[in-house]
Amino acid sequence: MTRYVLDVVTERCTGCMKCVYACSWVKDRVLDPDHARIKIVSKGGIVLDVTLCRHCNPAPCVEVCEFDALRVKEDGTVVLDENRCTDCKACRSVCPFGAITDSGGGMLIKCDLCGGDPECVKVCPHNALIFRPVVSQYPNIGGKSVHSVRELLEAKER
Amino acid sequence: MDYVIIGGGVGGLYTAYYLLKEGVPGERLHIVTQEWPPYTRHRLGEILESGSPIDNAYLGIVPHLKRAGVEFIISRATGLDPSEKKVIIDNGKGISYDELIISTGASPFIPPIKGVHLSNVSTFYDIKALEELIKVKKSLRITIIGGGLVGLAAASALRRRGHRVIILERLPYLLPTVLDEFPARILSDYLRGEGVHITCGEEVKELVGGKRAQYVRTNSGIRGTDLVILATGVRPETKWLEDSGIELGRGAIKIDRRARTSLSNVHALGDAALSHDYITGREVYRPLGFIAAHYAKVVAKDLTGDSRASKGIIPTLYERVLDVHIIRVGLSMAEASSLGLSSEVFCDKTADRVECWVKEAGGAKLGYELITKDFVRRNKAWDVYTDIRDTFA
Ligand SMILES: Cc1cc2nc3c(=O)[nH]c(=O)nc-3n(C[C@H](O)[C@H](O)[C@H](O)COP(=O)(O)OP(=O)(O)OC[C@H]3O[C@@H](n4cnc5c(N)ncnc54)[C@H](O)[C@@H]3O)c2cc1C
Repeated sequence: MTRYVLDVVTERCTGCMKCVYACSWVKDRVLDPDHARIKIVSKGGIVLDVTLCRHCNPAPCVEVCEFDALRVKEDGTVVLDENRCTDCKACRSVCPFGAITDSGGGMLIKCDLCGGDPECVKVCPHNALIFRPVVSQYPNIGGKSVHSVRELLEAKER
Repeated sequence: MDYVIIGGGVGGLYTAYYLLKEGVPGERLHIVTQEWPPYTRHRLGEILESGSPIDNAYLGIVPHLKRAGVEFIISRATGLDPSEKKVIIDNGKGISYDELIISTGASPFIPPIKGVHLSNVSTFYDIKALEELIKVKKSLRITIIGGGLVGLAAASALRRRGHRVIILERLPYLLPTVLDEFPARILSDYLRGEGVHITCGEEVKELVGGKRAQYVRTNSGIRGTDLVILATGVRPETKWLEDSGIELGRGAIKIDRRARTSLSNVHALGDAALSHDYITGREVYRPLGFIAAHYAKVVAKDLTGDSRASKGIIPTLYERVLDVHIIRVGLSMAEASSLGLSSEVFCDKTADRVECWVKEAGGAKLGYELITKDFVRRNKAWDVYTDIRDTFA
């Protein structure tokens, strides 16, 4: 089975928010950043980061979830079963990316790559989001293949 | 073979969930619970804060359990007769079991001071308390006694709802069971910046008033109040087991690494029981939902033939209070010391965050604490978690 990753090229992001609104609309039928699985972190109009799930494998959130609510699907997507989640927040404590968030009322949400056809990628006018099949099974950041969460963090910090 | 589960909170329900997953037929599972519908306490703060429907708290796995044929008996267990393998419920009837699982949780600790029974004094522990607080529309002066996780969850929600909130913590700093002093003080600074009044190191002596508490008297003064919330910790709900002979430690049920109790064919878990710390292997009382769920899986496996011992718990805590995120993984220096480990804490502070590492004398990482007003991205919690997991395996 082909696996896909979603790469973010933060430098290209202008903070236009199209991806954010598209995500909240597709997922929850509202136009509300709290309901978006992708977040743009900016300060004083400058985009610092785009946060979304990197679908780590092995995934920290999956390892600590005791409620059987998080799992890695066969295609590598890390998905959250909202019916099993009780909002204990253990996953949020270990996610290095802050990619699991609360849409209000303690209902946790995260990116599921729209089942393989991510809306955010389609609406991004600046090619800041790139959805591509994985050649190696590891994500690519700045031209380097990244093999663990630790390397991913280091790569992002550079 | 009939499995009887006492308590319909996260521990009880996820035990049923995992037993089903291991292939036990639903008709063999009977859950005795005094509250209906079953819910998660973890969302009480967020629901109050956002004003979202109370239904959000109801546990999403209930329809699945019902479809599988699990029986829910809405009743209160009042006693256990292990020699007859029977649980007594409040109508005096006995329910027989082949295997019994106890997950009766805890109840809020009510401090032995004058005035705690006045009409405007409540706890923040269940749906009823949530409903009462939702009804309060006008802006009040609310005193929260206790600066632990529950007190802060209430403070966050009530501040957002426009109330004037003051937190009184008896110990010198907030979240004393979660954080070390330096990060806790930074947390206080951040929360004060968001309009929460915080007083640490003051002990409440009395709630003063006729029908309603009008003043809170502490060891150093007296303050006016419109409403009081007691968030002074919890105690295991084990009184009903008094005559059963089950072995307790600090009031909680003692369990082994397979969550077996001192009585045969009886397992226990969750806030009613002790648990094991991963790093030290010591018995601890940590009333947390993910710990209840951990042992739910352990119990289900033990009862279905996979009797691997639990390695214990590496705490993984996250809480948001107003716009401040709090993470703690592993042990704080304070908790390490209570478990007999000497350690030091190293902190790194920038304008919007403080990040701390707890290290043992020999250098091994024991824990991580993060307080931030920024996003939680690029935190090192997972690094520390994996270090602990591998070092102390
Ligand atoms: C406001 C608040 C927020 C929290 N947030 C978090 C969080 O974010 N993350 C986290 O990990 N933990 C959190 N916790 C802690 C968590 O809720 C508990 O650790 C967890 O609920 C324990 O599960 P349990 O099954 O042991 O007990 P409970 O979930 O309390 O369930 C016990 C059930 O048994 C019933 N019962 C008790 N006695 C009897 C009897 N004799 N007969 C029949 N039924 C009985 C009770 O009514 C209750 O329904 C929070 C707690 C509170 C109060």
